[in-house]
Amino acid sequence: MRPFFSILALLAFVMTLHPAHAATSDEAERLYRAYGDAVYQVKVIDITSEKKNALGSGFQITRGGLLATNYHVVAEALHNPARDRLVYVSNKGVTGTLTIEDVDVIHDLALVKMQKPGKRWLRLGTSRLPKGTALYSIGNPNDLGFTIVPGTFNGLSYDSFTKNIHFSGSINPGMSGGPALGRDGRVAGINVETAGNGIGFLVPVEHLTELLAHDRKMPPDYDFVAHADTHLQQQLLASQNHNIGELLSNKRWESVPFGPVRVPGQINEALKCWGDRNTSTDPLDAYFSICMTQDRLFLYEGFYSGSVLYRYDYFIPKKNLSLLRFYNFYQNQFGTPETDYRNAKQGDVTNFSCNSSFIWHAGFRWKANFCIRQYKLYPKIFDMHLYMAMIGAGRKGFVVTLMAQGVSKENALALARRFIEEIKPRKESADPPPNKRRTGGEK
Amino acid sequence: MKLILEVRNHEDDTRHYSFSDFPVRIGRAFNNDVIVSDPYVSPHHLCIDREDGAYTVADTGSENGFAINGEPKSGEKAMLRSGDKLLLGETEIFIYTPDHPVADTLPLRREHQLFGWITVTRNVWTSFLVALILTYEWAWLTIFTPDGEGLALTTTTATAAGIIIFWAAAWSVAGRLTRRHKANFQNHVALVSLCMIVSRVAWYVGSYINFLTNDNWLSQCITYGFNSVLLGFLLFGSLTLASKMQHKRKIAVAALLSLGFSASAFLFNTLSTQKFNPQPVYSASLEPYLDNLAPTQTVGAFMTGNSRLFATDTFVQVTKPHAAAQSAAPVIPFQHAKRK
Repeated sequence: MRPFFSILALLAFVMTLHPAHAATSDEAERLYRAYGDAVYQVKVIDITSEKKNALGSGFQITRGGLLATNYHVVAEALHNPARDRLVYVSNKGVTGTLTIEDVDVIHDLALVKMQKPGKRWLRLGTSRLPKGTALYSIGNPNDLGFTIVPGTFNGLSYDSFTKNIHFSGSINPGMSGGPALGRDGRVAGINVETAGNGIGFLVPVEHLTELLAHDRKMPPDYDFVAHADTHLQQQLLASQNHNIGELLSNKRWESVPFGPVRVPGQINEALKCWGDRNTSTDPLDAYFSICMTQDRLFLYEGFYSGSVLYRYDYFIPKKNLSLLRFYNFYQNQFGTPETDYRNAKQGDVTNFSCNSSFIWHAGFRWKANFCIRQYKLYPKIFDMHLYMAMIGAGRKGFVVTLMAQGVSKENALALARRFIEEIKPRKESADPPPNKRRTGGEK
Repeated sequence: MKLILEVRNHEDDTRHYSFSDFPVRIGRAFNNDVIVSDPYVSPHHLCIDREDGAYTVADTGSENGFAINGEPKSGEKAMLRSGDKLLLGETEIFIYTPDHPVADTLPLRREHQLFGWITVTRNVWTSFLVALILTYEWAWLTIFTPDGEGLALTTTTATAAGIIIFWAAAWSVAGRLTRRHKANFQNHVALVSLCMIVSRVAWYVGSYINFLTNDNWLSQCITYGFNSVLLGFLLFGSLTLASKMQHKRKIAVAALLSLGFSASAFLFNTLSTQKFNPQPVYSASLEPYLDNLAPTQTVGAFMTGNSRLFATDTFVQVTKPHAAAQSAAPVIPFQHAKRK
């Protein structure tokens, strides 16, 4: 009897598994047959050499031949129309040129117009789907030919201001700008990036719907490329107003004790916080805590923006260092900030300009530096760096760093002020006036 | 009429002889009127004679000959005039009549007082010791190794001692080779030690100025200015000890070298701040003890200063909307749907 049951169990297992598998592949085959013709490869062609220098995917969304793709696919052609041009290639090998109609730099979307509209286009659906919904992503990975990849919708990512769909499926370079379809053949998201190991991200289709509506409000024959900088600055301003506004409108920031003071904790769900200690061979033991968004807003080649980061570094001497020695090492730490500003390169931004001062705050004296640099193409946008070191607290050091990329003057100032004000004494007591002897230090 | 012979040996030691009886015989042998202990001089080298009120010099069978004012002579008799320089072997003999004019008296300068101080052996080794102690202090301040700094500190201090000795030795050798005079080794040691002490003290002053003023530019100017002066002084002192250069020329050489060096360093530094730097540059100086002197502001005043930063010439000022923004199509703001 026993072998019989075993075979039966095995059979049952195979039977439960097989139909589902068959359905998935059938589904993909059906969807590709029905909608594959609306997906195109987008090539960025260097005008001088007439060779492709970047590849992406796109899909037709209107009868008139509007193609949706990623902003990062067309960015080079948008900023250097004299150097790069765009062409599309259908899965049957039909090609034609593309003109940029509109972009949404924040959500990494672009609308481009085909020279000759194709016969098939996709309808935009919704990304408000239950977790686990099957989605089928189409694109042309690594120029290997058109591919359809099944995967599942896993909700929105919550580690950045820009919320993307977490898609469990293999999105690869070259598939950027391709559609992710539901079973009904409607677009739920646009392939945008991969985190490797089958973790992909899609732009929710609602942003494409908005972009399409925005594009329809613009006059026909509007030369978008000529006015791209103004549009991008406008979008950056609106986005940072929304993001920083969200931080500032939170009236009760989480306040956590750290070292000699209380500091802002996780003040928004877009920020991920962690902490660690560095107690290696350095003369100072360093305890730090970081909160940051994972935003990496692509503007153009080598130029990113949109991230907010703050960190606290608490330094205690490892051995019984004298005050003079402690300060020497403390100064070295303060002179080499951990924050990295290589999000922009030469030509994108000005050099940092700083205002340095001593402030009396939260019961301590601080050396405070406020630094900004301007975006050359978008002069209303700045990167901001607030950097404060506690002084006169004996053999204890505490450094506060706040970085905000791509913010307006008003938001940079408002965020810095609020941030400083949210650094509070550990014990709620009135600040002694600055002319009095320091408190809180230990000898 | 007397004739004065000024004999200068290869070590620059000078002796004066005065003669009224002629001929005057010069050589290494002990039966000469002027005995020259120079291995390149023959036992009977020269003879100076007076004929009809004029002086002549003649070779008396020398091995190496001689020269008058750099012009080699051998055998024949040559006329001598007051002020002529005879060179025999490595020895110089100047011929003077008593009425030969001498150079003007030099005024006694302050440099001589300092250079007097550094010739005292006790001062020399005291300053050397203090310089080493300050180097040790610097190393102690900056070097950290978890399992004891002893070796590192000793190495650094020994290196500093080596640098001082090397510097002094180099100048001594150079002085001896070029001008054939005393080495003044100790004086060089004292001079460079003093400069090291002053520069260390100045470093502290500069750090505190940077710390309290929050001004990299000011403290940089002070650092460069001060180091330039210090380097100039060191060069001037070393030249004084190692050469017989004229006062004005020494000042010119020292000033030119130190200014040239500092100016090029300053220029290089200034130009590199003009280049693109992705990281912010700010006053990072932190010092203990005197933090109570730091002029503190309220957060509000600090923020006012910050907002003024946006209005500086460093940044493009956007007062009117861009020309592009006033084009045919107004920039239509996005309608961002709120997601929950």
